Amino acid sequence: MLTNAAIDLAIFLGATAATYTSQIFDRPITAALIYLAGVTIIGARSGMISGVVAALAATVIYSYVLTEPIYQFSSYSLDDLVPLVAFNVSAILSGFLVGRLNDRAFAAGAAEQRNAFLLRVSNDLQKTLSLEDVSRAARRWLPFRQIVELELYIVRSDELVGIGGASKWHDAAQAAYLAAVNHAPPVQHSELAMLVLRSADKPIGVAVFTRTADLIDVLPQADSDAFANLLNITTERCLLMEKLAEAEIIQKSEVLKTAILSSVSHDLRTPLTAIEASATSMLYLGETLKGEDKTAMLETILEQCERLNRYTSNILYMGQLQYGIPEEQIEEVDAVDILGAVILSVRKLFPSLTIQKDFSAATATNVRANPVMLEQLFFNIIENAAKYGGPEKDILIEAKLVGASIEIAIVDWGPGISLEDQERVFDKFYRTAQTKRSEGNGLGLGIAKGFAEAFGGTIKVVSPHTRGAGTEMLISLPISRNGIRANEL
Amino acid sequence: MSGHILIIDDEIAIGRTLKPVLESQGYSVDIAYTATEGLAKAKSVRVDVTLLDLGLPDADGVDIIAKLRSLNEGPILVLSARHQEGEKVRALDEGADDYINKPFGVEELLARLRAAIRRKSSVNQGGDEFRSADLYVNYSTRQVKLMDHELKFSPKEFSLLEELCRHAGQVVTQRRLLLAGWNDPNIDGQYLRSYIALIRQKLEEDPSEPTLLLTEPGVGYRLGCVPLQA
Repeated sequence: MLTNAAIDLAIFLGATAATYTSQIFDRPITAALIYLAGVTIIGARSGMISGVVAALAATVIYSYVLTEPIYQFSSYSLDDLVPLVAFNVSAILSGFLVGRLNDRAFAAGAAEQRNAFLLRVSNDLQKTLSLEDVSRAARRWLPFRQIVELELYIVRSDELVGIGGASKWHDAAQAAYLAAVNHAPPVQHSELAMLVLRSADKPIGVAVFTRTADLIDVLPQADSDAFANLLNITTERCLLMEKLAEAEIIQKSEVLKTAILSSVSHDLRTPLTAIEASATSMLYLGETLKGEDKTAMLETILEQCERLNRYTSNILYMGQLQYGIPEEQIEEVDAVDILGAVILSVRKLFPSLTIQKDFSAATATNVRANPVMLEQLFFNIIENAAKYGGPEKDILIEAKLVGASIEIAIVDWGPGISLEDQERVFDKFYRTAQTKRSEGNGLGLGIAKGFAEAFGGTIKVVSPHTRGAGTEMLISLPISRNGIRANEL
Repeated sequence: MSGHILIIDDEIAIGRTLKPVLESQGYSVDIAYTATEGLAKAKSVRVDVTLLDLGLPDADGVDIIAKLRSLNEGPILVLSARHQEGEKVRALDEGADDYINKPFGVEELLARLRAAIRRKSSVNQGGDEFRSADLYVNYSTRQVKLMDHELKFSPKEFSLLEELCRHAGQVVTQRRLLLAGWNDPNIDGQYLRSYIALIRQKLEEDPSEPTLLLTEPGVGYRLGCVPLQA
C-alpha cells in the first residue's frame, strides 16, 4: 500500500516537474497535457479516489504555482482563464473516469477470483460421499473470508452429533439447533457464527464457524453466504445418500431373509426327511432289514447330517458377511498353509480325485484374513470343482505371486459354466440348471466371494479357461508383507 | 481304556447318546447339565477326563475351566462349535487340553479322549521320549529319527517339536508354542510360521500338504501321529 502511494506520489512529482519545465520553455499546452497524463496514470493505477485527489492537487498546483501570476489564483483575462478552467475540468474528469474504470475492472477481477474459488469449493464438496468428507473438504479451504475454523454437527436420531470427531462447540451448536427447532430468534455468539443447515425448512444440522475480529465486515458477506449455502446443499445430499444406502441394506437383508426362508424349507427339510425315514425304518423294521440295508441307512443318516452341518455353517457365515467381519477377527495368516490343509481334507472326502499342485511361484504367502473363513473360502471353491469337475475328476491347484497379490487358481476340466451362469454363479442361493439336481444349496460360491472381498481380494470365474474346456476359479488376495527369510531366523 | 468321565453339557441328547457309547468302551460316566452341577461333581468324585460344553445355561464354560483345573488334575476337552475359534483359544489358554468341534463323530471323540488320557499318564511317568510308527524323539538326548533316519534339528526347532510331541494328537495353541520356543507369547507369529515350515521340510513327504504337523486354522498346530502303546 505504502509503496503504491509512493509510486503515485513519484508520478505526481515527476509530472509536476515536467509541467514546470514546459512552462519555463513557454509551452503551456504541453505542460497542461503532461499534467493531465500524470493524473490519468494515477487514476488508472490506483482507482477513482486517488485519481480525483491527484486531479484536485494538480488543479491547485497548476493554477496557483505554475500559471501566471504565480502564487495567486487571480489573473485574469478571459484568454488566461479558459485554458485554466478547461485544464481543471479535464484533470478532475479524467482522474474520476479513469479511476472509476479501474475500480470496476478490479472489482470484476476480484469477483471472478471469488467465483473461481467458490467453483473449486463447490467441485470439492460435490465429490464428497459422506458427511466426514464434507467436513474435511470444507475445512481444506479455510481460512476463507471471515471463517477461520469450522465444525459440522448433524442431527441423528434427535441428537446433534459432531462429524469427524467435532465436539468443541457442541453446546453452541445445540443452542442454535434448539432455537431453530422452536422457531426462536437465532442465537448470537461473540466469537462464533452458527449456520443452521436445513432440508425442506427442517433443521438437519448446524455448521459452527469461528471468525477473526479484524476480518469481519471487511469483505462482503455474500461470499460466506455462498460458501454456507454450498455446505448446506452438500450436507443435505450426503444425508439423503446415507438414507438411500440404509434403505438398500434393509431391502437387501429383506431379500436375503426371503431367500433364506425359502431355502430352509428345501435345504433343511430334505435331509431331515431322509434322516427321519432311515431312523424310523431302523427303529420299527430293524428286525426284518438286511444287514447291508441297515448300513446304507446309517450312511444316509451320516451323509445328511454332514449336509445339515454344512448348511448351518453356510447360513452362519452369510450372517457374518451381512454384518461385516470385525477387524479383531482378521490376522496375518499363511494362505498356502491353509490351502494345504484344505486340500488334505478334500482328498479325504473325494478319495478317487486327483489333485495336482503347483505352489512353486508362491514366493510370498502371508495375507490378512480370518483363518477359519479363509479355510472355508478355499474349501467351497475346491469342493465345487471336485463335485462338478466332470468325469475325469482331475483338479489343478496353482498358487503364485502376481504383483502384490497371491493368485490361487483352481482348475477343472469339467463341463464348464455357461456365460450366462458365470454372471450369477456367485449370487446367493443361485443354482445352475446343472447343480439344481445336486445337494448344493447355492451358498458356497457366494460365501467364498464374500470372504475374498472382505479380505480385500477377488474371485473370478474363467470358463472355458486357457488350458482347455472346464472352469478356472481365480482367487486373488493382497499379500500383507513378505515372509521372513531363512537367514533372519 | 478305563477312567471316569464327567460330561458337562446342558443338551440332554448329548449325554444320553455319549453315556452308553463311552461305557461300552470301558469308561464310567457322570453327567452334569449346568456349571454349578459340574463343579459339584468334580469336587466329589475323581474325574479322569472332563468333556465341557462352552455354552452352559448358568455360566460361560470358559470361566469354570480354572476352577475345574483346581479341583481335578484330569484333562479337560472342550466341546465347541466351529466359527468360535476365539473362544476355543481362550479355553485352551485358560487350561483346557483340547477341543472337539460340534457336531463330531464318535471315532473322533474317542481318539481325542485316548490322546488326552495318554498324555496325562506320560506326564505322570515323566516320559523321556516320544515314539510313533514313524517318528522317534528323545527329549534328553535331543535325537530325532524319522523312519530310522536321524534328522538334525536346531535347538529352537527341537523345542517346538518337543512341545508338539508332548501333546501328540492334541492341539497346541500358537501362544504355547511361542512360549516353548521363545519364552515370550508376544513374539511375531511369522517367526513361528517360518519355523513350522522348516520342521515340515524335515518331517513331511510333501511340506505343502502336511499330514504330520497339522495346521488348526485360527487355533494352532497339532501333531497328527499318536505314540505307540508302551
